[in-house]
Amino acid sequence: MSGLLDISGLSLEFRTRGGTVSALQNVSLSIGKGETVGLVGESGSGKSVLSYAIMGIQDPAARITAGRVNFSGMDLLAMPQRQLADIRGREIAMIFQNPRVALNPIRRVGDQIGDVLARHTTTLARDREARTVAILQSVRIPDPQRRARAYPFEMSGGQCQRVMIAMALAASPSLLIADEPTTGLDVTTQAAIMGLLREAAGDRQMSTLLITHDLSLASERCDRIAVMHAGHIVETAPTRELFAHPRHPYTAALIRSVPASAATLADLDAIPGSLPDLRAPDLPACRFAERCSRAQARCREQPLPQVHKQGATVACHFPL
Amino acid sequence: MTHLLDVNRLVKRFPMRRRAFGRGAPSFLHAVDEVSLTIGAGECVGLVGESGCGKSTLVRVLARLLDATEGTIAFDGEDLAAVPAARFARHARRRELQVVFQDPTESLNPRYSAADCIAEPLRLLAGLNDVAAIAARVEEAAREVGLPVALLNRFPHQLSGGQKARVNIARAVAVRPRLIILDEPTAALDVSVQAIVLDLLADLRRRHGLSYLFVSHDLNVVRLMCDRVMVMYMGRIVESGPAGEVFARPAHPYTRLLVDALPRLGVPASNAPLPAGEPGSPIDPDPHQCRFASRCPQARPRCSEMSPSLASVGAAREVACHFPLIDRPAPEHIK
Repeated sequence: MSGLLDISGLSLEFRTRGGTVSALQNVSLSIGKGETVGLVGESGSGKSVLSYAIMGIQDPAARITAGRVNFSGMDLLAMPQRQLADIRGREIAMIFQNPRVALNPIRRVGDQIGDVLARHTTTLARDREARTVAILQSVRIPDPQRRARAYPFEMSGGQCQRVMIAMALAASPSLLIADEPTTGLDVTTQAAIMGLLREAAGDRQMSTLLITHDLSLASERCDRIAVMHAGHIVETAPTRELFAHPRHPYTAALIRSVPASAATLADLDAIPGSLPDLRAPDLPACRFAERCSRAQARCREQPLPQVHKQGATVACHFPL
Repeated sequence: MTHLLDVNRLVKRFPMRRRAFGRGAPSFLHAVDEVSLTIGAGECVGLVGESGCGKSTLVRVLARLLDATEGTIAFDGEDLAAVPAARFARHARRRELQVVFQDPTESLNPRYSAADCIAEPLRLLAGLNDVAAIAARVEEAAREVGLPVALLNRFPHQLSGGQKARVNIARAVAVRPRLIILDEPTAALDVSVQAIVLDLLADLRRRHGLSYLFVSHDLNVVRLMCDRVMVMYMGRIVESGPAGEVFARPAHPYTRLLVDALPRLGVPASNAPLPAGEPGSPIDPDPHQCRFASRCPQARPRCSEMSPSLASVGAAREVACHFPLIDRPAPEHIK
């Protein structure tokens, strides 16, 4: 399937004093037009690194060693920075986890949205203010005229996230990367924000990559889910199928560890061990092998097969 | 039945800045408003609510880090609200009531090793001063929470999130308390680790007959951990009852809203929009109005005229709503 975004065989490492960290290895993922794909996994599994690599805003210590990132026919990795800067914000927009940190604390939120309009759209300077107010209205900020003049510290976390969304949507991007957009917000605010994102995506056929550690949230909002563990994508499947029949042992363990899945505390299973140290030069082929009850010698030695079946993939020698 | 903790009409108001030239009545932020609650020996009571609802202030008043404006906190029969917060650090009851704070990193001294962190309350509260005795108790506590003894010499930055959570729990249980206030103990942890920590907490409670006040925004965790749950909204308890029942059949529209907003595993979200809005201002709220009325999908005129107080609905359940979602039992005199 050729989608709007096609990531194939992407590997990325960080050169650090403590050694080379293999943060992403042979990651492939595609997102179709208008599709919402969830990227889930524990903290440290490489979810954010992957999104930064798509945006071309990775840390200077990061080096992409293999792979391609194709966005509507363009190779993002080969693109000069200037051209990439035109695409960021216009074609691919991102909302970050902590809106208070991501917004400029000393500029009014209306001005910050105006910046996006000035850089990425053909909105005339004299229309910018009206457009900003209209955008704030579209993300349901009450009293948008007045709130456009507010500073981020004067707004609640939920309101700041709405402003972030307004900024991201200002130039009508075709792909939105939402990195933990509702972490730290109340469930009621979360539901409102997620509803807003879905509405925006539906209105303009926008594709969304939703990065989250919350499996329930991903299951509720995504068409397809990709599960990450220690820099590998271990399984991708349509949401319903992933929860009905998880095929990778890690996916199954992750689902069993979610409190919503358990009737009593005894049903709740933890995943033994922790993520492997990604600096180790002798990482096993399957990075989940040390935590897996089905692991055998083959898992540590032989490269992982990528089993494809009806739009689903699983990287495991012994899938469930 | 006497309870280990019996809190009666607890009020905490924070004075706001006076108006210009000191004219007019000063404003108050009503953080905790006439909260009554009990926790029995060995019982785990959950406290849920949105951020800003007063959960943390209630925790800080109960832990005697803040002074209450009004009300009593009877702990094993002794009124702790009468002890000023500044003096409570040296109070004999300080040992019996411990707190595990939300962020396992922020709540550990970065310059203390894990062993130092656990030893400090032993020295200050349990009155131990023999180095060998302290070391023995530290190791005992570490073993109890499943923290490898080899890690005791490490500093917080050398420990994982789950290990830091264990250090915090070990520090609380080392002095053998009777009540532990757990303020979002697993909010900062991954789900894979969360299950282990929840198991550990349940296990410690069983083994030592501990009582917990379990504060969390995660309704599912509360459902799994707690016997009873209290739902807090803008400083007030709006509903309480057995945890499973309250979430399965909410009586208060606010509880209903929280339950409906919860994402369900493997079930696509419905398109029905949730009632929008955020809590109103907790500064000088109208005493004659239900605080949820402005957000409530079924508010009627009466809700703006009279503030509802907690009344029982069914066995062991209470709700502060004029029009609860489950029927009240018929009053005695009608039966």
